[in-house]
Amino acid sequence: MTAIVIGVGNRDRGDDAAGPLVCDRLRARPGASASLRMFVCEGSILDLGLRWEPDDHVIIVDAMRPASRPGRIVTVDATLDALPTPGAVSTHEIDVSVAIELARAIGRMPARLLIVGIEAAQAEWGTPPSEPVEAAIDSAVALVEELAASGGVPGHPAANVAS
Amino acid sequence: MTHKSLDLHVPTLTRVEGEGAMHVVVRDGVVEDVQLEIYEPPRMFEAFLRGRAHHEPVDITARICGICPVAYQMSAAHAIEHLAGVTVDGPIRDLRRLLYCGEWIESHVLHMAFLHAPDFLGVDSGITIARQEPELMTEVLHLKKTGNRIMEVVGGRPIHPVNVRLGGFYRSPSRRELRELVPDLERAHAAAVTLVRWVAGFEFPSIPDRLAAHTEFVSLRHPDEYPLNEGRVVSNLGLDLDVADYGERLREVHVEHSTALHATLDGDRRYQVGPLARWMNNHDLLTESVRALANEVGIGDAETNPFRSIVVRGLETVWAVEEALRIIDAYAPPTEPAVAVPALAGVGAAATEAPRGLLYHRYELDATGIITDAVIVPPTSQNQIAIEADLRDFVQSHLDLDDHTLGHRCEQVIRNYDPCISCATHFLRFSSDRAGGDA
Repeated sequence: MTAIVIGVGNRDRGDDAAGPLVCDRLRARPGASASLRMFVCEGSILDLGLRWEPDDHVIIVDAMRPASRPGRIVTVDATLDALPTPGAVSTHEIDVSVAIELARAIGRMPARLLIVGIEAAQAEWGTPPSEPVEAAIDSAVALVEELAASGGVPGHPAANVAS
Repeated sequence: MTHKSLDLHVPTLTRVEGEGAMHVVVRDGVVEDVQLEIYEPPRMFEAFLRGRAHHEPVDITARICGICPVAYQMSAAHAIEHLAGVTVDGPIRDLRRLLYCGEWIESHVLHMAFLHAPDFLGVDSGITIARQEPELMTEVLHLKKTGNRIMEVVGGRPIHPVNVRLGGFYRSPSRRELRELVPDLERAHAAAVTLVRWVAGFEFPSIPDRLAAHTEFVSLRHPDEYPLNEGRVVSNLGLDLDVADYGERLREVHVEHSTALHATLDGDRRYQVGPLARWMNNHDLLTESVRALANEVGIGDAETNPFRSIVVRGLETVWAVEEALRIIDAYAPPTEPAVAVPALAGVGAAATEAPRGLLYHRYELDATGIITDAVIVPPTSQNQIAIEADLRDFVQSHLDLDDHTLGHRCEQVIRNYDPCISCATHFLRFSSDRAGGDA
């Protein structure tokens, strides 16, 4: 089974670059697994559900809204449970949850879909990632590799936990 | 006749590009005030451009919008090329049209299926539609993705393309790269036709007495092709201008309730831009297949009902897919991906057809090629007065509706224009004041 890692975010907006950075480092790791496919989604996200097949194990890495602990990593299993979506939204509010629920609505969910979220400190245009998020990238990379290796295992302890 | 009074207020308009508000006041059965409030702070792009080199607007202005960056790139490039006396033709010109087709496809489909269609179906989002029509929405998503894919192959990225430069591109795609788009485009064509037939089946409200004779529909007009990058500025009421002269006739005024400027012609001529205007002024330049489909779904040569703009957008999407296939079929890579564009002192202007309508740019350069003045007039700025006029006429003719339905319909009136509020630099909230109740 192939695991697909999708890094979502904008490289030009501070901590929003977290998803693409995780993909970059996964690609650069010596002996990067051939069973791992990575791609970065910096643009239109609505068609995310067309990027995987029913048998795939998908891990989406995205920055989360700033709260209290920048750099915190949260894993959510979205395979079965619907995510809350903002309802009638402007285009500025179309996010990963909208794209996943759209995929669920058209019957295009993969065998397993995990979201690895990295809490952001800021997403200012033209800024580099903050120190806490930069420091969390390697941990996120290790977590993604672990999740990919255990793909398809029901009730994997990494699901729905924060670290 | 109703003598009701009301005050409708929608503080945050949804399913638009960007954010804004709306306020309608009715007293004794007469609409007293209508305001499309755009309260997003000005983004100062014109000021940013002053002092920059002549080759930079193509990249800087692309950042104005994530939905229609190509429109900004094309208007900027053409304006500065006009100033330099450079004409881009052959395969580079075709690649620009192909890139623009990609943007039309992704933008039109996003608006039709996810922002506008929910209004007609009484649901809150495209996700609900997807649950009801999963096969249709799968093909719609693929259609949109195909538009983004064209932008990626030609422009280097699916949004904010990085491969565009003055005079053309940094790199031209190979014939093989473009040919690989064909299977997706063929599937997309079937989806676009299905989408047109689907939206044409909606029930369309109307605004009584909204006739072509009462509204000026302004667009580009090219002698040989449905317009994207080139042409004269024309209207159904006889306007026929070179783009530079059009700029001289444009008047932008500030109104207190909007951070976006309101545009008029000659200071008092209200007009609108966008798909209905393009269609009205250029329907004879469409392919036979698109015209046949238009006949099938009841779109004539002059469609004036703004609620039916969703069908015209669909027809333009079918055309854009066909145009993309035509360009790819005839494509042979250019010898060089760009032509040189010298930095000369002077003034250059251009207008191109963004998905939402005419987008005008004007640049003034000094002898070293530095920009000393920049003017950008986006389609939503040009449509604001028409939107407010539609709101006024719609509310006045539908006062029998309850407040909830009326407020919902008013949002739909605004969405008829697919407003790009961020491009116009701005945001939307809606309110209504109905004091006194029904008499």
